Amino acid sequence: MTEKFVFESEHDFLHKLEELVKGGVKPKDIEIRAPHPVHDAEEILDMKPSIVRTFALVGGLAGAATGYLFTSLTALDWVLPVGNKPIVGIPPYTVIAFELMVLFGGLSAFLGFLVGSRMPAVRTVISNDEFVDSFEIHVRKG
Amino acid sequence: MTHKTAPVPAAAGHPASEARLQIERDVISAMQKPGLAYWALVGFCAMVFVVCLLGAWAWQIYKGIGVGGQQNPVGWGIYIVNFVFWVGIAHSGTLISAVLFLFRSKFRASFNRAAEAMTVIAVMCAGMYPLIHLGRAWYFFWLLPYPNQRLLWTNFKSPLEWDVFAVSTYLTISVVFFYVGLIPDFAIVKRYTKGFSRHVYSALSLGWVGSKRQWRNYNMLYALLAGFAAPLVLSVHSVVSWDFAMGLVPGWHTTIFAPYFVAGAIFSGCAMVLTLCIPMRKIQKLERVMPIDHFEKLAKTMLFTSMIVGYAYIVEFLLAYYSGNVYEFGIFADRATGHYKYQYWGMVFCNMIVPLPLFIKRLRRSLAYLFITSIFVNIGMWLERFVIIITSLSKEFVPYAWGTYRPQPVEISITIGTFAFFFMMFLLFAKFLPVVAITEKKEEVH
Amino acid sequence: MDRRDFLRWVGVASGASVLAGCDLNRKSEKLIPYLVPPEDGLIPGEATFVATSCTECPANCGVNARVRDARPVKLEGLAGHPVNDGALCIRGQAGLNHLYSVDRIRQPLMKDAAGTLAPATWEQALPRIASAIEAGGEHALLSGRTSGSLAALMDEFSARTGVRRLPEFELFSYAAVREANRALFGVAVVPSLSPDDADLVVTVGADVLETYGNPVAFSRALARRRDKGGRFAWYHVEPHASLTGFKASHRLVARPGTEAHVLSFLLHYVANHRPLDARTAAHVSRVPVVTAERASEITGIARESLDHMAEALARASNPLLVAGGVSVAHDGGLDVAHLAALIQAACGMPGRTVDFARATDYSRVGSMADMDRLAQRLEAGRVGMLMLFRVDPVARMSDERFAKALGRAAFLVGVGDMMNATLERCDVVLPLSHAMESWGDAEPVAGVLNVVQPAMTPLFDTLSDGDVLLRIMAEAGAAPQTSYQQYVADRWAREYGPGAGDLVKKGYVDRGATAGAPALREADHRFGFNAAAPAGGPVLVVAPSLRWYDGRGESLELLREIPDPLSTVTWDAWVSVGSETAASLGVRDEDELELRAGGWAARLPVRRQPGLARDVFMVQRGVVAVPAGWSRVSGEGSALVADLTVQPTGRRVRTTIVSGSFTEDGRGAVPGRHPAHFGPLAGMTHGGGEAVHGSREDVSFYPAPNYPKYRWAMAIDMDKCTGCSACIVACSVENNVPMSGREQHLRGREMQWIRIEPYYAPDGSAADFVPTMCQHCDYAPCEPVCPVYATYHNDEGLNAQVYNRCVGTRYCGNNCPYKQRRFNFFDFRERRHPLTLMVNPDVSQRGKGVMEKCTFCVQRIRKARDVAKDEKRDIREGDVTTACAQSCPGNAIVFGNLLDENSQVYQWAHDPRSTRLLEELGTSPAVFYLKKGNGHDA
Repeated sequence: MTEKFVFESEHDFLHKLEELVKGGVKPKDIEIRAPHPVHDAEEILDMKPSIVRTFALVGGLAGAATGYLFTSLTALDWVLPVGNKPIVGIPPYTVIAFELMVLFGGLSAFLGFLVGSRMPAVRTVISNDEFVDSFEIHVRKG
Repeated sequence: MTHKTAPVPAAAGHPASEARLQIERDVISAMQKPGLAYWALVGFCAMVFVVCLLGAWAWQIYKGIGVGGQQNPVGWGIYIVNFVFWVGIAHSGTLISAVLFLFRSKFRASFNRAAEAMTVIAVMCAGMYPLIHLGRAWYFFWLLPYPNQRLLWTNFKSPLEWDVFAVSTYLTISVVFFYVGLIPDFAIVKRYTKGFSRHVYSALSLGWVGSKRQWRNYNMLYALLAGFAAPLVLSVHSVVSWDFAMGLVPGWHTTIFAPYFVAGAIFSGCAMVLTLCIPMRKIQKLERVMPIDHFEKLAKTMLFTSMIVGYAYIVEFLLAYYSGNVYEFGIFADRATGHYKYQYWGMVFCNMIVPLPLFIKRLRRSLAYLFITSIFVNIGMWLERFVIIITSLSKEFVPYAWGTYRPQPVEISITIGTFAFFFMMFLLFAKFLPVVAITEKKEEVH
Repeated sequence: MDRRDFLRWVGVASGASVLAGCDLNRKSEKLIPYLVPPEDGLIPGEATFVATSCTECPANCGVNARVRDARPVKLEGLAGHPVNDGALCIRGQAGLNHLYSVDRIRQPLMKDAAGTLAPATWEQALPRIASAIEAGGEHALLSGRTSGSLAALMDEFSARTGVRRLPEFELFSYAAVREANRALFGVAVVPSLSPDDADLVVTVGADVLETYGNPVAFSRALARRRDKGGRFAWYHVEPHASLTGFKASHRLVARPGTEAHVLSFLLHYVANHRPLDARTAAHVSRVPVVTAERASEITGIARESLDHMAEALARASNPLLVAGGVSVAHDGGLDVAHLAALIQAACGMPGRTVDFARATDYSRVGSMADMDRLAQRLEAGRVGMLMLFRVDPVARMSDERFAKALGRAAFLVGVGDMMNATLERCDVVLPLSHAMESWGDAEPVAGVLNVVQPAMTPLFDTLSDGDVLLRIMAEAGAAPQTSYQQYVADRWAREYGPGAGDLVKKGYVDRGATAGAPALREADHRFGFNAAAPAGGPVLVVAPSLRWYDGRGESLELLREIPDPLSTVTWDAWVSVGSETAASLGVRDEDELELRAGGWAARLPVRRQPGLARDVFMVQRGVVAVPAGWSRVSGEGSALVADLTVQPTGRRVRTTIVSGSFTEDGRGAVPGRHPAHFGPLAGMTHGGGEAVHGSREDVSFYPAPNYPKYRWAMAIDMDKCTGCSACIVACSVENNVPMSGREQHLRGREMQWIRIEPYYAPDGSAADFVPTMCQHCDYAPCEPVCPVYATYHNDEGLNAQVYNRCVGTRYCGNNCPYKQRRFNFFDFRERRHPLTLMVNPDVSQRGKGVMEKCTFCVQRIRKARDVAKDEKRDIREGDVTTACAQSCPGNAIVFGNLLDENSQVYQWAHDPRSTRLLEELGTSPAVFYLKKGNGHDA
């Protein structure tokens, strides 16, 4: 069974949410709906750090490493001297490494978002479940 | 298990709710079924795009790049001018979105969606040019590092290869950023649409309902993307500037290029946002969601960057003079007095003089004035790239090899074609996507 | 189009081309695959050389034709040849373009009923000529200059057929010089010039580096002279502006037609300062005295300059003075030639620096007076058949009267290899083979005979010069049928006996000089120069063209592509105008001027020419048709057009001017000259500029490049370089450099891999001509910017360009500070047959969208490496040289391995004069320039 509260104002919603948590309802039993981000609600519900951060970090580091390794190894694969510059040149390859860091980091953060928020939520897409303009609190009982 | 929510009544009693719904209605009503005039305009742009750009490009590929005006010594013509111009335009989008997000600037919410759309479209426009400009465009994929039987990779020391990575990364990240911002709005649009459109918007919203987990990850993603995008913006235009600064061409080979180009990009980007948003605000009746105050803030940014750009113009001259280097100073003296002096002084007028009256508050708040200024700045920034690229090449080291470049019909046609493409894409955006970030606007309501 | 359609079209197209390849008029040929090497030793892909003679101008240099798969692909000077010793000029190099010209006449032509020339066969054309001969009347034969066997055959032809042989027509007839030499020395010849041991050279109007005499021989001798060191000075007096003038150490500009005053002053000065024999003194006493003041006043040359020149001449132990070219091509020209000959005699030049024994035979060449007589006879209707043999008087003289008179001949027979204005008027046109397709011989100077031998079978249905005459003789029943090959072989056997074999193998026979120096004779010449002051007002000087001599090569596209070194104009016609004159007329480059003189008028775009005197206008032969007036005194065609009116039309005409700037503009573009400074650094001395050898660690973050065995490098001596542009054509032919055409030149898309950059002093008083090509820098700025590695540095120091990999970003071209990269904006390979054959198969042709540039003739290095490898050794000095260095008449370019301390290039690179272009950029180029002024240009 789910108990549902619907509010039109953010203030009322937060008030009720705080009340529920203080009243002993476990945050994991509380689901909310909000028409825009409500940062206070996250605090009240004491949520875990987002998984997106880890994805971004790993992706970014992987990108940077790929950037350096790919450029260096391809340059060494068939040595073609140009302008008497070093075959493996760190400054120019840093540009590539930076771009790949951003690319991989950004894409894997997005992946992290999809994983973390269980999206795409196929059921919601095909159902009539909607993103409404009201604040809701769903409390799972039992 | 959750209950199915009943549809929210159109007008609830609470003032905050009323304000939020007003925002929704304002933005969604801009997406009403487009009229004949709209389709005529889109069709016209599409036709110009096909004829002027694709047609001319096909002709150029068939005949050879020589149908343009590039020559010895000016190997790069207005294709590269356009490339830098569009990359510059592309910059304000992510800048307004990402940097202002990181600074928690409130006025971003009015423009960020339009600016991001502009970014994505402008990067597409920019991305065409390096290909159009190739002597053998049909081998464009040789610029990409892919395994091949010749065991040849690309030269990662070349600034052009950096461009390949910077521009494609920028396009990808911009698209992701744009799309992520749209996810909650798609879910809202879904609520207002029926039939096939509803399915499309529903699919695009990926099942967004605004749950705690979604908002939690969404906020983190948005902040991280902004964090990635902000340095990316700076890097991309720096890389573009290094296409020139890494060369030893006098007039190109200078360390101030990266900040100078970035400032110029923001400047031109702000101008293009104004050029697009002022008519859009009027036509789509977005006065409520795009207040004048926000335009004034954008005008201030533009004024500020105008002054940075103007400073760069002066500093460049002084550096060239102080270097005592005849090649360097020769280029700058020639810019001001030589074959391209009208372009040079046009640039100075448009970019340094025209924005100066924006110090007056009344003018900053006049949308008509801002619109005219923005047009001048767009022209001025195009001229700036023309002056930098073409004048420097035309009078390099060896006097015998000096020469002048003049754009040819094919090049002008392709240039017009990209503008058509740009406006066509923006028109489609204005009717099919929410042009203002609804959830972010709602956040301002209390 | 689907696949089947495609295949169908391919089938049709290839079938058609096979059919087109079958020339039905020719004997059938078999395609024999090279599975079994042919017996004559022809190896596919291997070049053979055929020694023959250049026939592009009367100088007849020795030529070595490189033949690949039975087609000449490159012409080189014949090494060791007594005249040109391995070098070849711009026109000689373009001989291949002449051979493969699209304007070649491909079969005999005959006027049809409508009066247009229509293709015919020899069997139709020859009887027609025979019957014309039979028809009676005063038949005549007019030819260009001939020598050797052809001259003899023509005499025979004339004797047997009764066709009278007219004095030969050459626009540059040397009539005044010959007349003066006849009068004073008793020999009507054009002597050779040998500055080999001269300590002073004075040239008056004679453009010895461009067209006068044999410019290749002169440049070669000058280079030898410079190698010897010691005092050497060169004064050049001229009314206009020429390459020769700017290359002399002192260029004195005389008002047009006043050169006699200079020479008279010189003569009297020399007479006063040198011991003279009685006869010479007697001659001198009859020459009107011209004081230095008077000479200066009349000629406009500064008094000090005249004094210096006179002093130098009086002091010189072994001087050379020659007058010619435009200075003798006017009414007072005979005076000039006489005075020059007298000075030669007074200074003892004959036999030392002026070689009468090695004279060029112009004895059969007539003058304009002869042409005038021909015109009169034609007008009187007294000429029956007129045969015009390898001569184009209509275009050369551009004289309407003559052109009209030609129509009065009963029958006109034209014999030539390319269509021209004269042949168009003929009733029958007989096509000639090019020298590369013919047997024959030529006599460049007395005592030397060059063989002319075929390097290929004729491209078209043509005959050689001699065969045409022999066939006509046989047809007319005047002689039995024989071939010219047999004829020359018999003649050689007669004249040279067993030495004739040498002729074919070596390419020439040198029997040595016979006569000694002629003695001065009594002569009675009335000097007219002092009678009247030369008329003032604008004067047009019609100068010889470096590129097409008297205009004969002007239709060759290869020469059209090459900039005239003074004006840097390529395809277009132009009029040179001095800076002062341009300012007073208010015209700039490309403004149109209307020039009028008598009944003649022309509209031409202006090209400013620094150093051209006020009110002097200059056009080149062949560029503009200017009616050739002539001197009634000497018969020499006139180079001066007086009574000129000049009017700007107000129009601007886009002109193919290649250079971007007349002056260096402070840029330090001339080797050894440093860039100027501005601002706070103004006046500071420049640190860089001198060549730095080996490591460039002082300017680079990176270590010096490591070349294991070779570092190919080039050195260019700016003293020896004459700006003659032979290197450009040599390079273009060797490397299949595209000919982009006039339209592309207007857009700044000239394609040459090497160029001569003229830089004038701001006042126009001096000029430098800098040959530049890809500098093959150690730290090449073009290389790292290519995103696809289409250009990289190989371990022999070459800046390699990989055409197949190039995608055409053009970044390398932008980033080359020397601006040496050339982009194929279109597919420039498209050519019409037979110009398609002018291709060196060793070098790939570049398609559209690809960057190209000088490769240091990498194909030649490759060849040398193959040879060296077969012999199990490294490439040695002398194994390889580039096309430009090979062809250079001035010996100004050396090429070799910089790591070999015994190589010439090493020696030159380490010369104290050695410098490199834009040294301060730290690119470390591999092209070294020995800057001008090795001390002996006093």
